[in-house]
Amino acid sequence: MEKIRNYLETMFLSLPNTLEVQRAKSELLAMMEDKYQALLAEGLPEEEAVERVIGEFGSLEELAEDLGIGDVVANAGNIPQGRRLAYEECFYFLDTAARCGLQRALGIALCIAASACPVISSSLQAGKSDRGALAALGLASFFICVGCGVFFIIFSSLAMKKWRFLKKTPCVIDYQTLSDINQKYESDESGIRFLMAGGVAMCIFSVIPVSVCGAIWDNDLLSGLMAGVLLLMVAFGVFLICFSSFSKHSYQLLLNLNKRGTVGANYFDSQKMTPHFEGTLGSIMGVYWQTVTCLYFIWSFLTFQWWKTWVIWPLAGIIHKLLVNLYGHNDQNHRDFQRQNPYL
Amino acid sequence: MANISSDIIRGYNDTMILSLLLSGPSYGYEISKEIRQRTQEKYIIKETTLYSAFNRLQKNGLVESYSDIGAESGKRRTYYRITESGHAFYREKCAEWELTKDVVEKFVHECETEHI
Repeated sequence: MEKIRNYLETMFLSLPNTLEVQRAKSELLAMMEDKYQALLAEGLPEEEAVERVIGEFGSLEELAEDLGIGDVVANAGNIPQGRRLAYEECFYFLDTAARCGLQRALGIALCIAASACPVISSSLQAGKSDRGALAALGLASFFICVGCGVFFIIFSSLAMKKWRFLKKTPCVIDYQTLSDINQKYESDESGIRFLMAGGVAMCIFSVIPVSVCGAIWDNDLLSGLMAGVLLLMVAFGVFLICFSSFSKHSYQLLLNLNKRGTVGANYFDSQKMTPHFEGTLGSIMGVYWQTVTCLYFIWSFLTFQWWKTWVIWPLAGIIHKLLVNLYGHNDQNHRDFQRQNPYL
Repeated sequence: MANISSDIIRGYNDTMILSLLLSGPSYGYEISKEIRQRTQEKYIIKETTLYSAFNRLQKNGLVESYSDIGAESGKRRTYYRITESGHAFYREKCAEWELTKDVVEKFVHECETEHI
């Protein structure tokens, strides 16, 4: 049955995601499933049954007029438009993206950690005779770290360069590959979340050593060292956050690749749930966050009460959510359809 | 063995479906199975053809669809039921076919007797 489903999904991949198309797809699937079950009950081997069901399916051209997809079918026959990404290609991309994500996160972390070098070296200098050497060492390690960091960042972005077409040219991924990618994503997701949370926690915890030491001992050397530790912890936290968000991004890139508004784009939940606004409100909401940022800066720079002005962000968030709930439109087609056909 | 020309049969898919619906509501696969059995597998209707026919019949108000759970299978399906105008259309199509058959037959017999 999986094969039949695949065949149908791939057939419908690049068709516009309308109620008619969805209905046709589910009706056809139901008919094919009934037929397949009946053939199996007659004692036909599985493969032959699949072959017969697919062989007797017909062609989408027959449905073109009913579904209002005449132009799509006429242009492309049954072949979805755009560059087709093969199964191996997708997984090769995920591998490359994971490796480059690691390198890039490392590069960013190194740039942050670099600033710990002069901090630590200057705290060590207190009361020492060879201050010059220590200062030079601190500076040198700073530049070495920054150099390495920048190297990693450039190196990884060069390696990702050849995948830039994913964003520039329309691409299509077939249903089977998408569901395998999604499966891999789901198995990795908890790990990604864990890393992300760990990174955030690390950034928050980074202030603990320096504040605890400052409170207990009044020691310049120790507090200097702890400031260095703070920066190193931040660097590590940022590394975790970057690495996890890069790998999440690479999955989402593939899962969202199929053209918006086509049946194939339905795969990823986040897409059909993206709220949008219509009319005048739509043009206002298009610049919502930019406006909020402007207001924040205007208020802050006019009053210099930064400890007060941050309030604008949570407020803006609440207002945004409110507007989305009151006036936002989700891509309802699919959900309405599912409501009418809960057995799907 | 001769194959059915899909161009010719297309005009009569609707008639076949309506005729099967005369005896009560039915759903996609059941209708395709009935057509296959009644014609002794001489005509196997394709899924897309069938769906397209349902769609057209429904648009013209000749059938109505509703969703129901099958008594035997317990599976929810879209069922189709013939309407009043569906009945009228069916009678019309039957008369049309009688006429067509009469006309075409006059020439088919000629062909058979001459034979190659």
